[in-house]
Amino acid sequence: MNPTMNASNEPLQDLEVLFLDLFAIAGLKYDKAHVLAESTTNTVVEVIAIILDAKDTQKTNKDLSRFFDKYPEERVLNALHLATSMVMESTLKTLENSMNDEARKKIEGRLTQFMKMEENKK
Amino acid sequence: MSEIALELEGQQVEQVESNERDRKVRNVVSKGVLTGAVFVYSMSQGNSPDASAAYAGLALAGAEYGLPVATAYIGKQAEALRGLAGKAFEAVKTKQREIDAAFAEAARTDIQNARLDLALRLLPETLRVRPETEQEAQIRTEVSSLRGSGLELSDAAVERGVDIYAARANEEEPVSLEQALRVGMAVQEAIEKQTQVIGNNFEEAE
Repeated sequence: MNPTMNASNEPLQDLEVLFLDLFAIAGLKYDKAHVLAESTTNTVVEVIAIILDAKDTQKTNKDLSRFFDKYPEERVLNALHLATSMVMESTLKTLENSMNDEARKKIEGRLTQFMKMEENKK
Repeated sequence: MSEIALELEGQQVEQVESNERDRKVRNVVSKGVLTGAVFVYSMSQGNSPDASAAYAGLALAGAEYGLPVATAYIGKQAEALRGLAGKAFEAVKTKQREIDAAFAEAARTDIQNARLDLALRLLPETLRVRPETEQEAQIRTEVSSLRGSGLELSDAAVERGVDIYAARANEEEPVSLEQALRVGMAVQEAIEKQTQVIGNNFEEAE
């Protein structure tokens, strides 16, 4: 599997890279992490769209810029923050018993890094 | 009584008085010499000034009043020493009492804290709950109303909705609480699907 492509053989988006990292830290094997990263990214994008009340929820388009083009930056960042934290909160709960404290800390660190990166982009 | 007799008697009285004065002076001088000598001797023997003064006093008491009084003097010194020792002992006891009191107070505080912890733990849940805020009451009413209208609004969905409502409260276009709760329901649904997928895949991966 090409490390720069997702499970659907598309270039990895920032969100997918984030989730790929998180699942790798949590201990998933590379191919599983890839599948789940794509699926989780789809969910986050879907949740962002729900929060923003956006009609465009097409899962193949994971580029967040379409939201930034349509909605005020603050709203999109708010929605991104909420969606990522909500999805990851559930994900971490699901993986809770399989992760040690060190992995959990690394995941939290990576999430914080991602949010800062997104905020600095704008 | 004749004048001669009176004169003789006067001379005798004078003589007696003079003798008495001499005796007193001699006494004072001799006692002074005695105590001074004892003091100097004691100092020359390496005793402290206090101890030497005590010895001189002892010698003076012996010379003045005889052995019983000297013994009493010694007793008085001993009493003074006992007094000093008593005061020192009392001071130690006072200090000890202060220390004991401080320890007792600390122990009491610990016990009180422990009792407080215990009381809080044993306190019925209903009594521990703080009063509901205005916003919480609003949420409760809205949730009841939506559930009453047949909407399947889970607690998790309410939590999501409230988070969304709070996050968007400061935006230019804030959502209503009802809208936020409905969005929360949709978000929760999407997340649950995803969680299910992750759970299944993680188990397989293990």
